[in-house]
Amino acid sequence: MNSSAYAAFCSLRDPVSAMQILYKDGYQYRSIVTTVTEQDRLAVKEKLPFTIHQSEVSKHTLYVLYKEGQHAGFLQARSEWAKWGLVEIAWGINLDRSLKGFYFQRCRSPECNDIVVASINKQLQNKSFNELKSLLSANGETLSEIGKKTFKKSPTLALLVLRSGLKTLAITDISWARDIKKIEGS
Amino acid sequence: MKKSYPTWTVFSTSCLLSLPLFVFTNMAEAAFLGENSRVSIDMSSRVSSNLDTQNHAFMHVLGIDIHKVFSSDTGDIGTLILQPYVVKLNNVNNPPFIFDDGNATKLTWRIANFNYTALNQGKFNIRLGHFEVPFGLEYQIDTNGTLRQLTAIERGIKADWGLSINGIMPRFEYEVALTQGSGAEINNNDDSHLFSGRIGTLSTKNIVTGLSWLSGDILAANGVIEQKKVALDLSYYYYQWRFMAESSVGKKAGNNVANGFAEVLWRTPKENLSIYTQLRYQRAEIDHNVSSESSSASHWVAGVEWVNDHGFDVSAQYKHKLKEMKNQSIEPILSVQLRYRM
Repeated sequence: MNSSAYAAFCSLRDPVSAMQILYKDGYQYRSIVTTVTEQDRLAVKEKLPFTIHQSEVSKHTLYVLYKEGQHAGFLQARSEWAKWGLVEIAWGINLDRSLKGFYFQRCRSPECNDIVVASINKQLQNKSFNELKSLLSANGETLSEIGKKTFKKSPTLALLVLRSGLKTLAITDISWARDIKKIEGS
Repeated sequence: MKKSYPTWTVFSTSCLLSLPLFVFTNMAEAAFLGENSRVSIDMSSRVSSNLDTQNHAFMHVLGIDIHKVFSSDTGDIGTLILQPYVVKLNNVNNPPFIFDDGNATKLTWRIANFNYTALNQGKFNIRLGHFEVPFGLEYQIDTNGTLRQLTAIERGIKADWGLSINGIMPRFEYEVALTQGSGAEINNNDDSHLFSGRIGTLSTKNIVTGLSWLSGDILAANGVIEQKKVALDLSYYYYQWRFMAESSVGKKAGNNVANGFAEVLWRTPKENLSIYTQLRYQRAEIDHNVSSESSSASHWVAGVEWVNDHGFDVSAQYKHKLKEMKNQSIEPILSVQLRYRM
């Protein structure tokens, strides 16, 4: 992303607030930094009618959550473009790779308030990749008929969040495949 | 006066010099730093022109930015950040006191610290090394290496060597530090020290506010200066706009001082272009031991920054006085900087 991809590393912050909101207390987190490649970007395009931005071909972090020594989920922060600028969304991911929920790390619209977040989160929680995909139109540019019924409140913001959630699930499975396999095997 | 080299020539030379450095850092990343590491090369050239005297001062910077997360099998242990930068000044009047003269070259550490994060889910961390003094707006906005600066110049210290506790709680974040008060100088022979801190609301929200304080003896050109300050800062984000303000009161070398700072910034939706303007105000007693007479100064700053998708960053800034203090002039300075990160 333009403004943040070349930011100095001292501005990198762990998504601690997101973990506290999405996973509550008693968790530890471990970072796994990997390089998202151009091949990964093309692989997302095979799963979805859209893909990540070219400037996202760089290093990214997946956080693995542990509770009492056992892995309990994942968290990844992603950036999306809105018409007013960059939106950073931290995604909680369940072990079965359904969505646990999201937290706005940065969204400069007053629409991104706690009530709207709770409303969108309620519809996305515990949905799998295919269930989420069914909420989008075939070209991925709008909500499907089911999606329109699901997100009566703030549909434009819900579309942005939904696309972000789908990209997050896709890129997690693609770019961290080897790491996740290792974690699941342990 | 030494010969001044055109900024573009020096920048091109830095680019060429950085190629072997880039190869080296990639090898270092793979061989020494291992997993969970990031390495970047950062270079910039800046010219600051005094429009009254037509003096042109140059600063050329080449550095490495290293970020490494250390982890155990089930959790992160801590994060190491190392940013050694070589800074070359050319024809600079009144250079920062850490430089021998206005044409000096010096190795500096922008940030160099280890933050131990394994204690309590990011709520209580311990940082050791060289880090930004937690005070005011500087705490949440990164201005290292940019023309745009906030309020650190008022205090004469931006980053310092020492220890801090820091963390993010569900409703607030904090950092409290005990540092040397010597800024970039790691050797502290002047009995300087600094106690500082900031407690604020979550920086992920669209309204952010914080309370800061500092107290200590800070190293300056002619020895140490005693400072005590408290400040309130406020940031408000609204779509592409950002409004920030900071107000502080305290004592500097025994004299009562008050500072005010306000900034408005606007960005394009793609965030590759930002425009900002700042207003700064300072009121200070002239000599507390003689009388309570005080004097005030103010100036405004306007700037623009353009960032492209490939790591180039071009920025320009102009500073102009509104009111000057007795015996302290504010020069009209136009600065232009070209920066590249790879």
